Amino acid sequence: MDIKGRLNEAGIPMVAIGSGSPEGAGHFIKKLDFTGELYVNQDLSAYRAFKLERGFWKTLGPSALLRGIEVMRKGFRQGRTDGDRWQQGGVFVMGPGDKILFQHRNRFAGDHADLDAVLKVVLGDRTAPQV
Amino acid sequence: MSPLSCRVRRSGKMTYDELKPRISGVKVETLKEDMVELESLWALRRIVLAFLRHFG
Repeated sequence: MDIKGRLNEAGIPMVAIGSGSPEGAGHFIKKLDFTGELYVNQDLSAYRAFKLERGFWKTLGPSALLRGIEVMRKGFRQGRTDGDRWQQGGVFVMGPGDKILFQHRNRFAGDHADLDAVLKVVLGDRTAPQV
Repeated sequence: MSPLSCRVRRSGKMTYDELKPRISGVKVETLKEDMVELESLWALRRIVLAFLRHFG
């Protein structure tokens, strides 16, 4: 079962925030069959609050390009995108209340969070310390 | 600066105490164009919060 299925089974919502337009978000939902909650933050204030990386070299630097070549070899092709092209993402496990249980900030494009570690925090020991 | 906060800065990890003032007043927009307080998303529940690089 994929991460979406395991989160659904555990009753943990997947909430995504994107920097593009509401229209772009609608296309994203259809294209990826995204079933979580989706929000838009075009002024990037939420990204800045979480200290997420942003910059030209974060998107087009050597590490990002190498990662891009890897995924292209696996057959992935990047189509048209909507959002701030220099903004990087991240994954967090939050709440309830004043808790950050997991945090990963992409250092460059393609530097994704370890989803097994996310699941371990979410589904494993619910009182796990911050990582 | 305390040794603890030094460790937090070096590791790139943020405590909730650090985050709280930064998210005060920050809102995100629903697809119906309603504004929602960011912190309300996890106030009463545990969530996996993914910041996307872009749509597409």
